[in-house]
Amino acid sequence: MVEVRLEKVTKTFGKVIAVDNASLTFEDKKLTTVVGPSGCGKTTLLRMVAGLETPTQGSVYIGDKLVNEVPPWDRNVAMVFQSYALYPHMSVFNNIAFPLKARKRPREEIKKRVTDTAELLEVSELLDRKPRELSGGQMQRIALGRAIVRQPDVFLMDEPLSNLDAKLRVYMRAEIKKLQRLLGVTTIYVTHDQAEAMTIGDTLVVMNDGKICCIGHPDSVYSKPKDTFVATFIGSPAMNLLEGNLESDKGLFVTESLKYKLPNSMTRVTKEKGASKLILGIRPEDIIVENFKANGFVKTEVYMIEQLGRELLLSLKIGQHIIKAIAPTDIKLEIGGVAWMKFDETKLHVFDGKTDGLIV
Amino acid sequence: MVSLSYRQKRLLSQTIMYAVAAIIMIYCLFPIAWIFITSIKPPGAEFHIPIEYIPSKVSLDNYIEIFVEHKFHYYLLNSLVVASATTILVLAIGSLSAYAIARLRFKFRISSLLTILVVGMMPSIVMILPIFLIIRELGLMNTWLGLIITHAVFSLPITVWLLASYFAELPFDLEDAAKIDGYTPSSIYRKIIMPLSVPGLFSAGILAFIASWGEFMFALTLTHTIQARTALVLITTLPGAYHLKWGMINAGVILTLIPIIVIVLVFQKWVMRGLTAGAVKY
Repeated sequence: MVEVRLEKVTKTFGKVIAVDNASLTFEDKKLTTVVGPSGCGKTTLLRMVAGLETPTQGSVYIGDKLVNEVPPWDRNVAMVFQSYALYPHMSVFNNIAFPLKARKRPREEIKKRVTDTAELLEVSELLDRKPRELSGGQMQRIALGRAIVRQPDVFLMDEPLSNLDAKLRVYMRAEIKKLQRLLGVTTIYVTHDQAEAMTIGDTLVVMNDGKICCIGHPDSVYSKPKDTFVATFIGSPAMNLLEGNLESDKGLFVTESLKYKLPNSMTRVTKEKGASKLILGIRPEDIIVENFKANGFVKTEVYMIEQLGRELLLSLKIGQHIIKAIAPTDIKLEIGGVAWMKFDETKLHVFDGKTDGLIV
Repeated sequence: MVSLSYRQKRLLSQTIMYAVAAIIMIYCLFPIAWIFITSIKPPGAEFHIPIEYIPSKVSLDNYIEIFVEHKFHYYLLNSLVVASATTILVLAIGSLSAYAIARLRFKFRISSLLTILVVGMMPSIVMILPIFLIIRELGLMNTWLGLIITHAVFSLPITVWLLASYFAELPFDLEDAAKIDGYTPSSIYRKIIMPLSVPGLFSAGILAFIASWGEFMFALTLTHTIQARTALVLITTLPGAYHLKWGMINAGVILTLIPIIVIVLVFQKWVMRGLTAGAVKY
């Protein structure tokens, strides 16, 4: 059983704080995705687990062992790089065999394990080729093969799918997930693609600005975002946020262009927290749009219609605000025309306008 | 003015281009051709008037004479040993320091690179006295080793610069991947960096070889007998007090040129790849 534990880990490069006091546990046999915008410190976090960077402060444990001072070649971790990092002068066979050769395994064992791995990844016919003769998807598989052939304690994946085209990326996503289940190796998967992080991870870690924002199951991170950053970063198109004030006696949420009656339960909790400046969050798919006036619906102007294929992404204008909403493709709307919308009250999020934290 | 069609214009510009190229070629190659022609005339024929641009009689006497009378093969051997050993020494030291400069993070990285550059820009004449004294005190006068060390010193700066820019082009991920695959930095250097740097090593090595082979001043100062004196230096000592054997001297020049020409022809592919390192993505 191998879990990876970080305790109050900080990494600075000169004056830049890449990772700021991060504490978390990557659970045994689980696939944990670390997601965040570029420069949020997620890759640095991964490289500290790999041993390619040493923490400025704090401790990194693999299993029960403190590994701060253990160089990468003595840690039993495998890593897949965004660039694949295949050795250009070696055949595919030798690329996969390279970690085994470092461990001075007998020749027959190396041959068997490389062949087995190649079969598992369906790349047996490529073993004699050089990396430059491979396509991106094939290189990706070889890089995976080099990681799994050695049966490591931990898999580290640094944006492994970013260089693939969209279709292949979705396919490989499922392959990686399947492989990880099959092998049952603790995996840390870094990506900037929130959709990839959501679909592939057993646990989702969101990072921003060197700090860990939240840790949780992808569903709960999505449905109960901890703050406005997580709310807008996870989910595409992003959650709509409206800043405004609460007129607490009437339970009305008021912005420059909109007055909205909050459900009573929400008003009560918000009052208890004592917040008056609020941010109201609603996901585009939780907005109901009609082309006729109905009870409880608000009048908006259709600003933009984008075809997503399965559905429409609407930009609706109320006063100064643009609100994104998802609507079925058969709705009859035109740009500049009028649309009526209503929020699904069960899916509303209320954030504190001062701290950005979730209230309800 | 006659207006030319597109085809004619292209033809004209190509003609001019080749004409210019031909002029440059003749300018560079005529001296060598002249030396070669003189070397294959019978001894004494180089003084004949009118000048024979195409010798009426071809003879290898000049070549035979330089080998028999002056044991030129020993001097060629000296040159070969000194240049080869210099190349190996320069590549061994140069690649390690270039690797450190290109790859490791340490405090005086840039300043050490600039120091190397400054040393490389120093005219060798200002160094001749201190180096003469050092080599003499070390007891290395008139030895291969004394000349090898000296030549290595002067070839190192360019080698380090060339290799450092070459190493800097290799992706960092490859080294990180090898570390994670279980290799220590020294084995990564052997198994990943060196094999991928072959073109760079070739071009740096050939430059060092040619520089050592053609170096004159130190070879003249630090060696004085058949034990260590190089071919190039010997040639300058061939004019005697009472006679001037141009034919034989020119034969020596041709013999000294041949190894360089062979090396460049054989390895030109590698040299070109090395010199353009960094111009295109690996």
